[in-house]
Amino acid sequence: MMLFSLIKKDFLIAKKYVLLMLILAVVIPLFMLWQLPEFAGILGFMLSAIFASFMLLQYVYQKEYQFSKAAALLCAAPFSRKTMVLSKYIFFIVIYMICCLIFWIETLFIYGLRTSNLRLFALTFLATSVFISVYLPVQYKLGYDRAKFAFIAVFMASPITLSLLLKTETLNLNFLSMISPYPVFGIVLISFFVLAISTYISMRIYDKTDL
Amino acid sequence: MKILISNTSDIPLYQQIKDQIKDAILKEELVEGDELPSIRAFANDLKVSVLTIRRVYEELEQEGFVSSQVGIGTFVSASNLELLRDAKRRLVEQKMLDMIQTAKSLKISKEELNAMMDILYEED
Amino acid sequence: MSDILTVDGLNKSYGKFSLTDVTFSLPEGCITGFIGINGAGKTTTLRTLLGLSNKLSGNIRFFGLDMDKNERAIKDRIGVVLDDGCFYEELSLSEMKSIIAAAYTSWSEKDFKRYMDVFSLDPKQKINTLSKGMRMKYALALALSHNAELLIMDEPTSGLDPMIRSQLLKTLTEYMENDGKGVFFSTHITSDLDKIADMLIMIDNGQIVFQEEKDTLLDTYRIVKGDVRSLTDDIRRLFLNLSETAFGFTGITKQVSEVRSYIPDVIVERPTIEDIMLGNIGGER
Repeated sequence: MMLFSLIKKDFLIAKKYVLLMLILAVVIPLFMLWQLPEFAGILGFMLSAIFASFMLLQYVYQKEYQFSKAAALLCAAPFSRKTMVLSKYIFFIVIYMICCLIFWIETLFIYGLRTSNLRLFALTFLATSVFISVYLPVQYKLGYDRAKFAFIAVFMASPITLSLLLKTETLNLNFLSMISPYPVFGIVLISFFVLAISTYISMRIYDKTDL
Repeated sequence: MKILISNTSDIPLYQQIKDQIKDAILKEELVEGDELPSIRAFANDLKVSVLTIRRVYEELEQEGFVSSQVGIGTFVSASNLELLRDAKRRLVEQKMLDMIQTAKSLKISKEELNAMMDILYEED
Repeated sequence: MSDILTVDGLNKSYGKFSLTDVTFSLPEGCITGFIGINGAGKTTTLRTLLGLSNKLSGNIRFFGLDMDKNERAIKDRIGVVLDDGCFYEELSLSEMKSIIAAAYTSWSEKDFKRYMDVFSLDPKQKINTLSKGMRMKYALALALSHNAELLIMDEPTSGLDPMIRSQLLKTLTEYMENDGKGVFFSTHITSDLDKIADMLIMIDNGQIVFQEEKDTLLDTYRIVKGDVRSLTDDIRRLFLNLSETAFGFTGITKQVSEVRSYIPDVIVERPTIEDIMLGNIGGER
């Protein structure tokens, strides 16, 4: 109940951006279809999922930073700090699932995007989870202001380098099938394991923070 | 019951309040069985702390002027007449002490004071 | 009379500032004021009590329960009003309420509605459009709608106009009419709130200066005015602080009868809480 309320809070404070994220999740695969038709399905989904979750989390943290005392009020209420941290991770998972849903609906209508859905979802989840697992503890450790610059730099660079690499070919997109002889279930399990460790680290950091 | 608190007096607040409640009992403005206001309400009306009123009630109870029943209230219990008379006498003694102190500071002798007392007592 | 909160040997350092061995207790059924100048350590103490910042050492017990072990259960029984700006400003009053309400086991929507009506607040309004006074009332409505046994407020009156202060006063008096409640608020201005306080705790430079019943304080301290020429060093020592001009001296003392025995013709007045506060930190009257 408390967890649910905290996740709802994240959506409320990022209200405006939730809509933008939905649009991005719809548009990015279409954009890819136009630019790089052969990889549109895979890349389109990966980019939209990563962009959406990163941007929304980043925006939520911006708001948390802007109204930093609000966390103190929540903490003075019976919300525990651990729940507050956990809610951010769940928030991410929820966004990711929304992205999956959007993409899945898109594939029903657009033939060019069609690809092996489940495996793609699982692998992207692993990639995003690893990223988020680094991102969130750093966010808790450095605070929004200092963490922001580092991440924005990394992020702005990534799609550009990625598409450059792909255009100059050589990158074998079969890497997906190469690193994925594991069952989908196993990949998801590993992702959750990574997230769990990260959650634990974030909780440790946040417990020591003065609000 | 009338209770006036003086902010210029040197007598502590709780003492002022206690004395005036006692006065009211002695003058029979408050009689056996009368309920005193609740601590919080009394404190609010007099603009003093609940702790002060609590102390007043506790001391009045120790001295046998009131009895308090948990959850019901505090009631005047002036059943002990001897105590009452004693208290009345003490009240006069208190005033006399004040008077004697004033007299001393004004260098009025004991004889003079007695004479003044005689005249005033007959006059009244 | 049991204590609703006991703090024992609380230590905490916060940059250059530190709380040293802060020890006090709040009796049940009382409004307790936590006074001190800006930067004396009031907010730091309150935040540490609430677990918003970590303590170095010390024992904190609410309702007889150890805060370290029962944090959640304790917070469920406390209402908190922090100095303004503690909301997500872009949310509406009812959105912010729905978040906070979910945390309490005994949230009362009825109580909340009643407070919103009494304070004439519109639930659809955005928080960032509230005035300082309305914001304070909203915070109070949030803090008092879950049957809290203890209300903790950080500087609730600073910057509020007299109308709202008196409304706040009334709300608190009503709240205290129920048995077993307590209020603990910090303040640096001695306002009307001090008038309803039963107990006062003063902090300065991270250390507790005194904890005393308000009326006892007002009974023990006296302001004494008199002729400068009659002052000697022995007499000066009887004062907590003393200002001397060509026309006379004014000082605050706890030993008024001694002063009187040295100089019989002094003017003696009862002090205000502010006089006592400043007297204890050597400020000017």
